[in-house]
Formats: sequence, structure tokens, C-alpha cells
Amino acid sequence: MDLISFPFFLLSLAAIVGLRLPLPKLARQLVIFVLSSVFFASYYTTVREALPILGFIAFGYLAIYLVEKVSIRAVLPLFVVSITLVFAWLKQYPVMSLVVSQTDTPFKVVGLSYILFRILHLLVDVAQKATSCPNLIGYVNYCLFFPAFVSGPIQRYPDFKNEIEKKPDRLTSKDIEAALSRIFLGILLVMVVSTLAVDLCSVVQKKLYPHLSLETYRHSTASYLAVAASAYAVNIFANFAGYMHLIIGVMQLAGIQLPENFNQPYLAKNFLDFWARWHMTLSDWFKTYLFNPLMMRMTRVVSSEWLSPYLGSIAFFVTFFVMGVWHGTTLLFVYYGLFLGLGATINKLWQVYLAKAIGKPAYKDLVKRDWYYQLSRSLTLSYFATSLICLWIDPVRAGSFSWLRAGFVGFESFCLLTLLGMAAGVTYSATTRALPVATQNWSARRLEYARIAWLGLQLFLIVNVLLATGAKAPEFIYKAF
Amino acid sequence: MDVVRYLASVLLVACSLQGLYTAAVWSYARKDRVVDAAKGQETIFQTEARVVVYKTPIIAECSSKPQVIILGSSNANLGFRPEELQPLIGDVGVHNLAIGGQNMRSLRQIVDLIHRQVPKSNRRNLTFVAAIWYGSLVDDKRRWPQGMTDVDLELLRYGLFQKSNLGAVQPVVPDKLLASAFVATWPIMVPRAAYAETARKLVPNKLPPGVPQPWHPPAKVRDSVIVSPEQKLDQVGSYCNYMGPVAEQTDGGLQQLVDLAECISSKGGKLVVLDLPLPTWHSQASMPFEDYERRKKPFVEKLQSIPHVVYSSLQTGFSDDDFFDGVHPRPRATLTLSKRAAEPIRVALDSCTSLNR
Repeated sequence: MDLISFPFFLLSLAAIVGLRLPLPKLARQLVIFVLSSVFFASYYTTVREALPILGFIAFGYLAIYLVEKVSIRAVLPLFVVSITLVFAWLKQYPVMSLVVSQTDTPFKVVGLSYILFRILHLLVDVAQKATSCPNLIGYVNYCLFFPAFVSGPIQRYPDFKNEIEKKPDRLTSKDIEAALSRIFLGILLVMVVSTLAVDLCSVVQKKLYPHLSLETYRHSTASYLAVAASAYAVNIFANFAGYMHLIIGVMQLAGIQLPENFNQPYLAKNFLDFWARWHMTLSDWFKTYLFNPLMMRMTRVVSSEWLSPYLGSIAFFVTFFVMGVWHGTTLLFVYYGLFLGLGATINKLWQVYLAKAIGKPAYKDLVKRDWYYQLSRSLTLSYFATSLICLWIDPVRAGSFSWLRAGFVGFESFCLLTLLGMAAGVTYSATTRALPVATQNWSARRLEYARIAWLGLQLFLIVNVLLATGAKAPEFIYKAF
Repeated sequence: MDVVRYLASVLLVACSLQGLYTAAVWSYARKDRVVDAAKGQETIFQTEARVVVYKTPIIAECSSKPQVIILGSSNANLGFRPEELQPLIGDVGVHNLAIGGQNMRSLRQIVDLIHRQVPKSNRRNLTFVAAIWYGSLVDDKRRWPQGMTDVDLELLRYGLFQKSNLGAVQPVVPDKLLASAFVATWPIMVPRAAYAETARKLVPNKLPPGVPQPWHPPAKVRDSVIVSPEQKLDQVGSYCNYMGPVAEQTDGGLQQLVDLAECISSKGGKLVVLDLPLPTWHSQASMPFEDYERRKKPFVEKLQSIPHVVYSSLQTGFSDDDFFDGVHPRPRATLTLSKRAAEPIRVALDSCTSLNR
């Protein structure tokens, strides 16, 4: 079931009605169970296709249950490793074929990565007594919660439990406005921005691929690469953030607050700040369950205050490398992981170096300056857009290329992307400065009318875009991860 | 109540905008009272088939006065320009509804579609011109292997028609409302058309998927291009492949033409059948053409016996230099073609007597 489709619209309506009813906790859980089961079932045509993922969920529950009952320390790492290995096998990572043969039976793994994150979180937190093992229906609801099933947001279990068990507040016009704004913005981001960016990317790729190989390289190759990379960066943001806006808005109407996954990432100050704003629940998960434990282990071994920032950069490298590799099973995703790891490390080391070189007060003063912010932001975005090339480039169509030439083209493209980013950033800053000035003298009533007119305009645009496209939304990119 | 009022306000704004937008599109698209499939890409309809299906309400609106409606394939589409033909036949509306690659089945569908929308009392004002060549008689199964014609696909596009269990494409609204329903879809086409137009202007050589572009070269090229002997051979071969082996040819297409003529005649309308010219290097080397010439004689006689039906052959009087490929006339030859066609059309309009050529 696509998130922008008539069946999902009906499911959302059922969720809004069902979850707004004054029902006891168990009944609310049953409502969520039914809705999530319908959504889950829509991805499968046979039971056999769903068996592996259902088995994985069952194995997860058994592990969480045993971890709570058996107080042996070795059990937790054993389960973490075995669950991760089963996940890697189901996802068919090539490295797993060295250990165990791949199955020929066709099955689907939609949402598997996010189920893994939820199971590992529960496993660790239950082992550390931070939370208790949920009941079976609560656990299944947590793993398969329909708005977050395909690709998050990844909510902590206690927060999830609180949200679904709490009695929803009375719906007000402000709630409606907030929720509709999210839903409308989400649909427009997906149906207009993402669609146009996909088309632009495909058009530029047609020009790019014939000139990427060693024999056919031209000077325009770098500009094509820069445009294709920025179009993909716009696409992935509009696509992912758009779908997140949509499901968060729908759940707001149902009285359930989902965690935010984006906080204007393309306005980030630097690479590390970017990842604190992009796919935030995933970054938080990696911070809690990989970065922090790793950092703790390293500081336990090397207890030098001088070395601490450098240990931080190592921990950043490992965390971002793993996060990058998680996105896919081919060698390109290893490169992507290396790109992310390297970016985080360079960012951390630069911060340490600059603070030491010019002193902390001067450093703090420098990062507040607009030119430094614009430059740093553009470099961050160019780096991110360049690393994303690993997600869309087709090595077969790209043909033969030398690493030296690839590096040269990449650098040229990176410089162009930085310039593009600078121009976009300066324009955005000027616009956002001008808008509040234009509306600052407006009365509350006038502002309310303006908001209603804005929502009405968005609804009008959405209706016409949906009609014109036959409501065919672009594929949700993160479904593939 | 607060919530209801808020939602109602948002809906009111959206509906008002939709109303303004729809009114603007309707007034813009209704300005042009000529339906010309060849100009599809310059309009909100974008494709020939979409113009033909969704702009037919214009013909229905104009049907209180005589209207000439040209049907056929790409050679009729390019060959008969309404702005050239109209001054030659007097104060009547001229529309070109010819779509590339059509056969008799889709021609019949277009006629039926127009009949559904035009009031019975006005059908006598309709003069259809079936501009055919042997390719128009290609077998249905060969031309539409999936069972769906270009017209079918367009009819189904916005849900105004649906496929029945038996495979027939039927309207879901009564015939009386069909023209209004077609007009109601016009605003839906605008965003795609704007997008396609922008793409054609910005990236004419690398168009994104789904953006239509002209299948033929620009007029200047069509007027000057020379067909090489190899291209002539290739083209004759491809037309033979298109029709299939001569041994498998039947009278089916010609019978469909006679049925079409009887249908139009029975509803009070007129039909002019024009046998379109081909370059001699094509007609003389083509086995399907020879087969067509042999088969057509008894059917031409049948056509001439049907009231209000005129048959005219335009096969002679054109040189090979009047064609830019094996079938299509050059832009500089279209006026001559219109002049030749005007005579039988005038006869049909004036006296309804058959003209033997």
C-alpha cells in the first residue's frame, strides 16, 4: 500500500476515527493491531512471502523475553549478534554467503531494517532494566506500527507505549491546522518537488553517462554530475521528509505524536549538525547504541583527556561507516559508508584543530558569522550530495573510468555544488528574513485568514496535482533501505 | 463547531480557487472552435488521440451548422489542414480528427463518439471525410494486439468510460452528459501540458519520460528531405510487414468501411471517402497495395449505392516529389491535396449525389 493512495487514505480515516474513540487501552491496542496488520498484509501476496519477517519478529520477541528472564550477561551480546546475523542473511548481504547459503524462496523484507532497530533497542533496554518486556500485542504493534512500518520514524518503546495508551486531547482548529499543514506539505513535497527532481535527475543522467567514461570525458561532465547530484539530494529530501510530514500529520489527527525525523537539515551548520537534523531518529539510535557504548569503551581503555576528541573522531568514523553500509548490500554502499565516516571524522578534527589554533572564544565567534555559516553549510551539502552519488550511480552505465579522473570530476562537481549551495542558501536567508517583516503588523485575525487561504491554496494544488498525475506518487526511496 | 468551521473555510478557499481555475481553462480552451489533432502538442491535450477524444464537445457545440470532420491516419493528419481546406468549401466548420496509425475500427469509434454527443436533429449537419489508404484497412488483431485502440486508451484515461466484462469500452455517464464530462476533464490536463511544454523548451533533445514530441521532422525539413533508394526499400518493406502477408489479407477492413458509411448515412450524415495518393515508388513495389486495388472495386460500388456517400480517388495527379516519405505529403503539397478533396466534399455538402472518378 502506497502512502499516497486511496487505500492509505481510507486506512488513515479508519485510524483517525478508531483512535479518537474513547476506548480502553486493550481496545486501542487491538485497533492498532488490526490497522497495522492490514497495512502489513498489503505488501504480501502469499503467507510464504511474509514468513521470514514474521519469524524474525518472533525470534526478536523470544530474545527479549529470555533477556528479561535470564540474568546472564553473555546472553545479550549473543542475541544481538544472532539477530543481526539473521537480519544480514534475510537482507542477503553478499558477505553472508560465506557463512550460510542464500535461500531461493522468494520473500519480501519491506521494513525489516526498522524492525531490527526496534528489536535491538528493546533487547538492550530490557537487559539494562531501562524498560520491561512488552506484552505480545504491544510488541507486535511496536514492530509493525503502520505509519512507521516502512521506514520509521524509530520511536523508543516507552514513548510509543505512552502515545498509544494516552487518551487523545480534544481536537481543536489549531490541531487541524497543524496536521493539515503537515499532510499538505508532505504531499506537495512528494508529488511535486520529488517528482520534478526525479525527472531532472533522469534527464541529466542521460547526458552524463555517455560522457563519464575515460574515452568520452568532456569538461561539461562535471557540471552534469553536479546537477544530477543536487537533483538527487533534493529528491531524497523531498521524498523522505514529504512522506514523514504525511504520516506525522495523519497521526496528529489520530491523536498520536510521532517523533520528528527532520529538522531543516539543509540549513545545518556542518556535517555533524547535518546528521543531528537528517533522519534524526536513526542518528539518535546509532548514537545511543553504537557511538556512546563505543566511546565509553575507548575512554575506559585510553583515559587521556587530550586524546578524548580524537577518540571521538574514531567513534564518529565507525558510527557513520556502519550507518552508511546499513543502506545497502553492494560495494557502493561501503564507499558510501566510508564517505560518511570520513566526513564526520574530518568535521570533528577540524573543530578540534580550529578551536586549538585560534582559541575557543574566537572559534565560537567565527562560527556565528554569516559568511562562515554559508560556506560551512554549502560544503556540508556538497559533501552530502557527492556521497549520495553512491546511491544512484549505475557502474555499468558509467563505463570504465580511472580513479584519478573520477576524483578530478568529483572535485570539479563538488566545487560547483558548493557554489550552487551558497547561492541557494543566501537566497533562502534573504527570503526568510523578508517574510516575517512583511507580516509583523498583521492582526491575529488577518494571520488566521492568511493561514486558511494558504491551506486552501495547498489543497487546491494537491487536488490538481493528484488528478493530473493519476495520484501516481514516486516510489518511497527509503523503502529500499 | 470550531473545527467544522475551520475545515469549511479551508474547503471554501480551495473550491473557489478550483472554480476560478476551471473557468479560466474552459474559456481558454473553448476559444479555438476548430478541432485539429495535428496541433495537439500546442494545446492542453498534448497528444493527437487526446485532442480527438476530449475536444469532440466543440464539434457537438458547433453542430447546429454544417461541420466537416476529417478522419484517417497520419497522412490525413498532415495532409488536410483545416485552415487550407475551409476557404475552399465555404461557410462550414472544418476539423481534422486524423490520428497517426489508425485503422477502420478506431475511425468507427470516433464517429460513434461524435454521434453520442451531437443531438439527433443536428447529425444531418455532419459530413465525415474518411481519408484512407491501404494501411487504414489493416486487420484489427494485427494493429491492436492488446485489443485496445488509441481511442480506447484515451476514453479510459479519466474514468469516464470503463471496460465491460466482454471487453467493450462503455461510458459511465449518459450520452447527454458526455460532452460536459469531457469538458470537465480539461483542467486536469493543464499541469501535465505545462510541464511538457516547459520540458520541450528547456531540454528538447533529452525529454523526460511521458513528454510527447512530434513524430515527424519540422515543416522545413519535410519540404526539402530526399528519400534515398535504401530508405525507399526499407519503407516499402516496413509497410508490407505492417499489413502482414498478402495471403492472409481479407475484405474485413473494406467491409468495416461500408458499415461505417451505412451507419453515418442511416443517422442522416454524409460521408466522403477519399482514396489517398502514394508515391509511385511505394505503390508500384507494394504487394498489399496491389491486393487492395484488386479487392476494393466491389466495395466502391457498394459505397456509391449508399445515400449521402461520395467516393473519390485522389491517387492520380501527384508526383513522387510531393511526398517526404512513403506515405506523407510534403507541406508544400497539402494545398493541392485540399483542392482535390474540396470538390467531392462540396458535392457531398450540396447535393449528396455520388461522384464517380
